[in-house]
Formats: sequence, C-alpha cells, structure tokens
Amino acid sequence: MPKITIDGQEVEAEAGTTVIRAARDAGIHIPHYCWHPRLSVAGNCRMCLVEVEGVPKLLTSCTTEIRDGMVVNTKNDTVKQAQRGVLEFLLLNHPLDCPICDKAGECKLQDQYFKYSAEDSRLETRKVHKPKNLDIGKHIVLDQERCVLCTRCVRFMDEVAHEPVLGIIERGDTSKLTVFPEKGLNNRYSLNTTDICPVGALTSKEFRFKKRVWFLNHEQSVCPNCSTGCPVILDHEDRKLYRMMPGQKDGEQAWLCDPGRLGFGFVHENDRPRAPLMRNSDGKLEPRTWEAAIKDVTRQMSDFVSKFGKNAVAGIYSNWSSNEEIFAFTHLITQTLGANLITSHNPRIGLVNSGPADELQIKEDKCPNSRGADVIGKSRPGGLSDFHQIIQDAHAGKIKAMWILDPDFMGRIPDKSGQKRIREALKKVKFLVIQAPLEREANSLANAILPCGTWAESEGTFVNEEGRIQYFKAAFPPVGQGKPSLEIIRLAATATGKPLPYATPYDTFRTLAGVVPEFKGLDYSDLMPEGALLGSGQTVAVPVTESAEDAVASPA
Amino acid sequence: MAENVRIVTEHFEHEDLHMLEGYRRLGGYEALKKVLSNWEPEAVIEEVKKANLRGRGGAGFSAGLKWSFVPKGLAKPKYLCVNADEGEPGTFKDKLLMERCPHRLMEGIVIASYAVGIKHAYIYIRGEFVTQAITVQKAVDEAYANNLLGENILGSKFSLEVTVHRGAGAYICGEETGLISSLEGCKGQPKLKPPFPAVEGAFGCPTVVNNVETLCFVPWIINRGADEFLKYGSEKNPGTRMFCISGHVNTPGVFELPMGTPVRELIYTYGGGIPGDKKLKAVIPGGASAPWLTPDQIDVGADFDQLRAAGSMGGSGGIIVMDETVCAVKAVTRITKFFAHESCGQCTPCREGTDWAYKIFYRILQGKGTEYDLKLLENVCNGMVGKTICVLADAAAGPILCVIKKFRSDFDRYLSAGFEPEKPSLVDLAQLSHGEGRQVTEPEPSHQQNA
Repeated sequence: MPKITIDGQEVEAEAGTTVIRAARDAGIHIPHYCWHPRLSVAGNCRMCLVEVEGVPKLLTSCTTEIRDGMVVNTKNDTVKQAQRGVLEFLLLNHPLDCPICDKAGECKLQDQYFKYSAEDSRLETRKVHKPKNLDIGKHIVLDQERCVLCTRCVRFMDEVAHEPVLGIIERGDTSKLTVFPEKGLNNRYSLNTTDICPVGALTSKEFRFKKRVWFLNHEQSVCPNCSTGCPVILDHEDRKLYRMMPGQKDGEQAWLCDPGRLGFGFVHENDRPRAPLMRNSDGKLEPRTWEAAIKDVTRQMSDFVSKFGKNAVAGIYSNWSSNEEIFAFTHLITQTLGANLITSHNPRIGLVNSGPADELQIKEDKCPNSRGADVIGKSRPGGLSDFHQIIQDAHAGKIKAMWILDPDFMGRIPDKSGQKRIREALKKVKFLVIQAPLEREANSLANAILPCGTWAESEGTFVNEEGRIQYFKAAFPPVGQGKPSLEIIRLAATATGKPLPYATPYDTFRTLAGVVPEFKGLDYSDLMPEGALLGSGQTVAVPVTESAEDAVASPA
Repeated sequence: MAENVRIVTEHFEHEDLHMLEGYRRLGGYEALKKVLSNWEPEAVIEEVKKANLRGRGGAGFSAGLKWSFVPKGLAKPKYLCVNADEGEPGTFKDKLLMERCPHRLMEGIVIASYAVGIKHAYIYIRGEFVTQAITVQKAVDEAYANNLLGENILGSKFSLEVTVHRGAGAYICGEETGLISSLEGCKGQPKLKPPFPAVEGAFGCPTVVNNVETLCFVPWIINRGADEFLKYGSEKNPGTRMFCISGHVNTPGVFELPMGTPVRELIYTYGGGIPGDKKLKAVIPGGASAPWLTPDQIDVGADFDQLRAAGSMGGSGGIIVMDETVCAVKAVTRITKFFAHESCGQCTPCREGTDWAYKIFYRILQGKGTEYDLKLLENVCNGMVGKTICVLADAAAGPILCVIKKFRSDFDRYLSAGFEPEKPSLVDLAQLSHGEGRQVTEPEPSHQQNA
C-alpha cells in the first residue's frame, strides 16, 4: 500500500484512495463542501485545496489520488490563505440570515468560516439576491441564496435516489439550484438532501422554525418504521422529539427514507394513556397507582392459572417489543406466573406505512424487531405457541386471561375480517391486560391498561432484517406516569414475590445472551457503534449443557 | 525564411474555394488520397508529431502528441471533437477558415480521424456562427455525396461520420472539457482532469479535441512533409498561424504569418499602424485572456514560448491594439465583465471572484474606489489563480493583475478626491444587462416574510 505523509504524519492507504479520504481515515480534517464520502467527486467548491510537495499549484484533495512518497501539507500558510480565500468567496453573496436559518449551529459554512477564516467581509457593494423560501417538494424548502452550489443534493438524487430532478441553472454568480420544470423533489429519500446540504439551502418543512438546533439533545437509536432498522439520532428537548437524523452506517452517515424519519408522530399523540387503568365494577376504566394496578393484574393472572390451568392464560408479545422486553416477558408469563402459552404477534404492518419496498432501504416488513421476536421465540424449547391457535382457543372461550404487549394489537391485523375475529376472541377473554404506549382499539376491550414507553422512551435492542442487533437509548421517560415496558414486567415479577434476576436492560440483555445462542457472547459494548450481527459473538462454539428452559429458570 | 507562406489560407483568393469543386481543382483532398492509399495511421501521427504542429486554439500543445495519447486497441469508440467554438474576444480566424475553405477543415478531420482510428467526428461550432454552420454543413453534405465522408472513404476501408453540432452561446464551451459536456447534452461546464479527454472524453470514450485552424494545417503537412513545415516559424513554434489584428490599427484583419513574427510588425506592418499616428498604449497578444504587453515589450516574437517568457501568452492569436487614448481601467473593466458573464459558475473562486472583481472596478469607475481596492483586487485575483477546474479564472485574473502592475497611474484619476464620473459611461450602459445593478430576481411578495 502506498505511504504518504500528511502534515508530517505518515499515512498508509489503498492505492487509488484520494488524499482527502486518506487524511480523514487518519484523523486529519481537510475542510470541504462538495465532497461527500458516499457520492461521486465534483471538485467544485475548491475548499479542500492542499499543497503537494513538488507540484506548483495547490491541488484539490478530493480529486488527487495518493502516490507513494507523496508529501502533503494541509495547514501551511499557502493552504490557509487559499482556504480563507475560498471562504470569503463563499460568504460573499451569502445572505447571512443565520438568525432565522434552521441550519445555524450545524452549518458547515458557519463552522468552517469560524475555524479557517473568521475575517471581516470586504464586500462593499450589494449582494446578488436570489429567490428564497421556494417550495420544491413535499418536505423540502429551497433557499437559493444560501446555496453554495456544491451539487451534493444533485448528485444524491442522480446517484442514490435515481430520480434526477435537481440541477444548477444559469451561470456565474447567478447560478441557482433548482428542481426541474414540472417536477418536484418528492422522492421518498428527499430529506437526505437536507442532511448532506452543508448550508441551509435545503431544509425540512417539518423541522422548519421548530427549534434552534443547539438546544437539541441527541440520543442514539434505531428507526422503528421498517425492518431495515436504520441507525438514527433522536433529536429532542424537554420530552419532545423534534426530528430523527441519520446515524452512522458502515462508518458514514446513513441515508434515511422520509416516511421512516418522519414517522415518530405517535410518540406525541395527545390521547396516550398516562396512568395505569383498571376496569371497575361498572365496567369503566379508572386510573390506579402503579402499585395497585400491578398487584391486581398479577394476582388475577395467577388466579386464572391456578383456577383454569396453565393453558388458560396466554402472553403475547410482538415485533415491536425489544429483545429485552420479549425475554423478560416470556420469563414473567411462563416462569413467574406459570402459564403455558406464550407467542408472538408478528404482522408486517407497523405504526407508520412507508409504502412499497424498494431496492434502496425501504422494506416490506414495517416492524423493527420481527427477526429478534422470531429468534428469541425459536430458542425456547418447543418454540412458541401458535398465535392463531391461541386466538382460536380464545374464541372458543378456552383462554381466560391474556396479557398483550403490542402498541396496536388490532390495528396491525391486515384485514377487517381478521380484526373482527380478534375483537370477538378478545371479548371472550375474561381478563385482558394490554401493555401499550398508545390509545388504540384493543385498549377498549382491556380489563387493565398498563401504559408503557414507545421505543423512543425505552432502552433496548432490535434485530433488523439482515440480523443486526442494534442498541437504542431512551430519549426521555414515557409520557405521564407511563413506564418502560421492561420496568413494568420487572415490577410485575416482583409483585408475585419472585423478582426477575436482572433489572436493567443491560443485565437483561446479558442474561438473554447467555441463553439464546444467536446472542451468545455479546453485551451492549459489542453493539457500539453500529450493532453486531446475530451469531457474531460466538468465537467458539459453546456446547449447550443445560437446556435453555433451565437457564431461563435459573439465570446465572 | 520564405516570405508570407500561406498554409491554411492557401488559395483564399479563389472565390469558389469553399465549394468541393473549387477546393479539389486547387489540389484539395490530395493529402487524404495519399494517406488512405498508402500511409499507416501511425505514420500520420509521426509526421504531425515531427512537424511539431502546436494547437492553435490557445494552449499550443502538440497535436501529434495529443493524438498519440489515445489508447490503442480499446473496444470503445473514439471521437474527434473539432473545436469551432471560437469565442475568445479578439479572435475571428476559425470563422474565416470555415467560411472560406470548409473542405480543408474536412480533409484535416478525415486525416486526423484516420490517424487515431476515429469513426465519428463532431464539429462543435459556436452558436453565433450561423452562416458558418450552414457553410460547414454544406461542405459535410458535399463530402458525403462524394465519398469523402461516410462508408469506405475514397474506396478505402476507412469510414467516418461527421456531425455538425451547434453550441448555445457559452464561451466556456470552447474549453475542451466544457465543449465535451455541452456536446453530451449536459450543462457546458469543464470537467475534472484527469481523466483527460484522450482517455475519457465525450460519452466516456477516448476523445481528441482539436481547434479548427490546427486541423487545417494537417493536409499541407501531409502533402509537403513535416520538414517543409519546420522551415517556417520560430524555434519550437514551427509553421504559421492566423493572427487576428484588431483595435486601434489602420488595417485590421486576419493575417497568416509565420509563428514568431514580432508583435511590432503585426501592429505596424500588417495592422498598418495606429490611426492618427497616436502612440501605442498596450497590446493584448493572444485574446482577452492574455496579459497585456507595454510598448517596450513589442519586439517580442509572437509565438507560444516567447510570449510566455514575456509574461503573456500566444493564446488564440487575437492581437488587440490599444492606443494612448485608451483608459486601461475602463478596458480591463470591460474584459472583467466579459469573464464574470462567462464564468460557468461551477468553482467557487471563479463564480464569485470574477463578478466581485467587476463590482470593485465598477466602484472605482464611479469614483468611489480607494487605494485599498487595488490591494483587494489583487487579493481577489490571487484567490482565483490556479484554484479552479479550468483556467477561466486565471484568464480573468491575468489582465487585472497586469493592469494594476503596469498601468497603475491610470487609476489615479478615479481615486482622486474631486473625480466626477462621466455620464453616460461605457460602464453605466453596461449596467443595464449585468453587474452592480444587474437583473436580480427579487423575491416575490409571498417569499418576503420568511427566510
């Protein structure tokens, strides 16, 4: 591999690597606007000029491939002067409307001007003005004045989204970014252009004027709206989620689909259950304290088991539950409460419909943890009970009590007749516990509603379609008195006098990893920063000496 | 050295030279016959290389060498792009060559294509050249009709298609990669190099881009031999070139003269001297991009190397003569305005710098400039030179830096306290279409309340 020297530091990289990439991999930042690691090279912003010894002119580091023995300077006076020059040119006709620009605080023009120039403007004549506040798509507003014409968005639409609708028209300093006539920037990946826009030229309508970005807190998470499980950052403040931004994938900023990243409205629905509710003797739901509700729920469930037997009580989790919740819930239902029936509700319908699958990222399965629910279920000796059998038994009046962990148990049933059948089955259940974060139809049939957190309010892991176990953090606590699902399960176990041998999501995951072979050898630290594939923790095949059932019964 | 040998303007006195019949009667297409009957392609390249035929479009790069860079044995097609987008201010030679003898160009195209193994050539002709495009198209049609283009040219195994493609009026499309972008149907913007066109040019295929005049030399070199060509011109700058003499001269026009003809002779002998016997103030020796020469520099030979050594360039052969009445500040302002208008807008320094420089000049001409503005202009120019994809920024900066250095005293008037701007000035009139008060798209009322 060729070796080059950048700012006195020896750097080795594959032949064909450009200087900017080699520098970046070595931790040396070369300022740039048009270059993007996941797009083709345009070389137009001229910000990444560096000096290569033996070459009279400065070279753009984004277009220059490394050669063995090359000596590169990115910080000497000639380079600094060129950087100041380019920044001055970029800011020359820029409107400097930072106080009302959504990008302020995360704008590369602001940041790099501050870092590499910070000089006063020398323009003493009128700036070139261009149209602002242009509605160019369903989610996108364009400000042509702020645009630095780097063409990242143009290349994104050409090369990634494969719907070339953006282009630069006119020339010289009246050049403008625009959307093609009769077209709109309505692609399902359009909001990525706002992420890669280094300035505030392309901004999101949904986030427009909502928040100064420096007030936002950032939490690592996973997009819950399809089984791709894109890494996201939850940007939130004061218990409010403002936007989902791309996290890191393969070491670079991920692409997100618009419906996925915008699909967090359910977190802030007004009618979410805010306290545990129990049906009183009149059949009305009434708020209870957690202590009372948990005591009542666990007592009744235990009573149904002892009165009608193990096969009269069922627990149903879903592909919206985290691995930790599934594991602990299974323990609660089968070990603590002693019921026999445990199953998973895994329709492909989620809370948000991002539309048909495509070849880029959007999957048909709109749920975040179908794979995890499947793998953990299969790891049980004898597997899971049959979901449809349970519904049929409920219909026949054989299931007396049921505990469901699903944000929208009935809404996620694909067809009306199926929904009707489920409704009738649930009506026959004498004691129905719905543990859900949202107010949905199934709640109306419940004898107890235990309000839990959405994924944004919980900590845990999901397994995406490719089998990657990904960690997500709670951005803030659940609304009202709601609690994270895992906490509710833990309280329930404690209330029976048989507390779970693990408390935190971290402990739960470690215990799970000791039992479910695909998770073996992993803990949360192995999932940072981009998750780990199922089975990747097993360095040596560990013979299973005790049955998984035993392990669950007596976790280490 | 023989006096006034004429190569590309040979037989220009004949009225019917632009017709196939006329051209043939005067010996046209003989070189092509010769090449197709018993020359290997490599031999053609070698001969042109040996003649050291340097590109007459501006850069002065060896045409033969350029041809030899095209990779051999590739499955991809190869293309020839004839650069007929003559747009350099002060240059009007290719126009004449196409009007008067399009078949010489055609013959050059076929020979060059044969040498490189090209099966399709495009003539990219400047949008404003309407009659020339028609003339060239007629010549192409005649050539097709007479087996000089198309399948099995003159009974040989060599076939060539030629397409005339008209530009849409952008100076930058005369830059070879800008030309290719435009030809491909994209916005006329220069491309990153490498890859160079010889490796990856039009439609991603190896491409040779040659100027009209350059190709017009090829038949003569084949007919008479490289050695004969080398007899003319100056050291390392063999042959002749078309000098376009304009500005303050008595007999402006296009003159085919040996390379290295002293600039003084161009002005006083061929240009007929300055009207009214006024003094020379400056001369631009290679089109608007070229830094200016002062009267003490005009004994320099007008060829690529000598002009470079004199701090300017041979460029496209446009000789613009300015007499003592010319205000260097106004003149360079006009040139700067041209470049600001023609900047493609791709690279930051050129997009912003050219117009900024023009605005500073405008301010100076309004009497609102200060001493500091000259420093600022230098800064702006230094921020452009060598920092862009193509050399338009350098072309814009060169004359500005040159004028500040050589004609500093011309600024004094504008910078002095009591200066009253003349009205209406050239610059004020220019404002109608471009610059300080240029047309800007004002935000519509509905756009005003938000950012």
